[in-house]
Amino acid sequence: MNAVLAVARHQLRILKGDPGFLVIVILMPLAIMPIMRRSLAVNLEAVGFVGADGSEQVVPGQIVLFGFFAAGNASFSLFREHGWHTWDRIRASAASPLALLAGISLPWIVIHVFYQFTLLGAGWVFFGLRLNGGSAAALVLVSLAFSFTTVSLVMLSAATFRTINQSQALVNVGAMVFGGVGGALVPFEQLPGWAQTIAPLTPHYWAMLGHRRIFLEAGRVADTAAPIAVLVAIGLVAAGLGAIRFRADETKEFFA
Amino acid sequence: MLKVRRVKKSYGQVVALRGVDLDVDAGSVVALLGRNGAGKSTLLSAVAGLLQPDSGTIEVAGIDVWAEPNKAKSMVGIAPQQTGIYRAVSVRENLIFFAELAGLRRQDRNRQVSDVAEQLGLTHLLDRKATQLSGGEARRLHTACALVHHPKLLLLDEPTVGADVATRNGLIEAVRNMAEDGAAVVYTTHYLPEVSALDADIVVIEQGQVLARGTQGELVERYRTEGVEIELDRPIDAPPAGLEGERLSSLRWRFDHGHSLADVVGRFAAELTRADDAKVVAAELVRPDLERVFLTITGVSLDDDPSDKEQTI
Repeated sequence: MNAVLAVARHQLRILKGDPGFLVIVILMPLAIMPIMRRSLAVNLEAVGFVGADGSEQVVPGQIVLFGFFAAGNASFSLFREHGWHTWDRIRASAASPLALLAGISLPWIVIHVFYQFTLLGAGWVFFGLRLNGGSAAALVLVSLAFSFTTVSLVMLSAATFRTINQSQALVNVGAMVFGGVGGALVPFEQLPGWAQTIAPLTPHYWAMLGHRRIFLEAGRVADTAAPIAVLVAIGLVAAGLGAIRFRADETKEFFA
Repeated sequence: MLKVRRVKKSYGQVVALRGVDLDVDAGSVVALLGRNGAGKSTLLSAVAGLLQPDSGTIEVAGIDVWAEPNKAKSMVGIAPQQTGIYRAVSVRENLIFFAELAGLRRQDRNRQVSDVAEQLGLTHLLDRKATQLSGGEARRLHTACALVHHPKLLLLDEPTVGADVATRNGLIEAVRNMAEDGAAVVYTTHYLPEVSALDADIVVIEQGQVLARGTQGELVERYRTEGVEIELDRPIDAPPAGLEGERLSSLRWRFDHGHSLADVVGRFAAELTRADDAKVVAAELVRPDLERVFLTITGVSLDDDPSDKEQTI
């Protein structure tokens, strides 16, 4: 556990020296929210949420859509260890390879939660997002589950691929495809039939469902239990597969 | 402290280690001397638990590196050949991380960071970002990261590559201090002056095999190879009859084993120069040194590039 925390602290020190990435990944959805909010209010009304002002869809939608980008640097952190020739050094320590992997992943879950709540806060301040009877505890749980799942999937890609380019390409494509299919761009009911059919295969769908229950249906923790459970299950499967696939002595290319 | 027995390692068809034995006692420095590709780095990687050997055993303080890796690794510090530091954070943060990774608590950690920084001349750089370090400073930090938790076994893989003279001297002094404090040190190099400066036991490794071991004095005595080198004013096909020599270049020849300077020059003057119209323009008696000892033991020069002579099973 000490090694996990030592690596996690160190990853945060590195990020502190270059926070530009986090600023950008927060600013991008923030810039899009006001552009899409009014049209999404119309969309929500069209599917039966009369009185919705659009923030209930656009704020969670942008958070979920950009969620993979925000977690993408978890993969970058692992590949960077190879690029800086530090991977073998830390691998030669008494820490197990899985402890090192956990140490690299852990801060990104924290950062991802920070990313989500910063945007939720901005939604509250700038775009009128309100719980409207929904549960704050449920919101925390949905957000934690989505962060865990997202970082686990990104680390699975890092464990699987040999080059940073391959891993990042999958993360970027995954962000757009999963986001689009999962209902992050438009309400679920307005997705094409085929997309509605496959949407439950994406973690984005379950995250959006959790947010919908809270912001549009005044959901409590029990109402969000299913989406939270599915998100955690996806995260656990991804983490397990990542741990199985991960080869500590595999050479990874930072830039290829 | 370190016991290596019959360790073999191959990469596909390429044999890197062919049954290596090595013992290193606490408080001693062993210099692994060999060309690029001789197997030095592979051996260090196996000792550090980074590369599993195909067969053989490696023990650190009696603990099998591959049976109890975490326990064994906690006693080892390694500075691999390639500089590996975190360039985005400060020198201090680099050292703190490696100290924390080794399980040091805050008070010990801070003390040892200060100690190792002082030892390697990094104190005034502690708050500088590693990306702003010169090549020599980065190399010192790279080595310091391996020393910061005071390992019982220190593995340094060509630590002075690319380092300036001051850095090199500082590193050698730090290594000697570590050994005086009781650490066992394995130091790979192909810079012979460093081996002399370290006053290390020398292990000559070539083609994945340990060919000889001893102090510099012992090896020179054991493989004494005094010889005569001459330089001609034009190339010749072969030396005079009765002289078995080695062509060092188109104009230089070397003659070992019992030929005196006068004997060699005399024969050239009497026979060869007459026939080939070549003249001896310089001749010298060559004293035995470590480089010649290495040549005698391995049959190759330390400067030879072995890349076109890969060994296969």
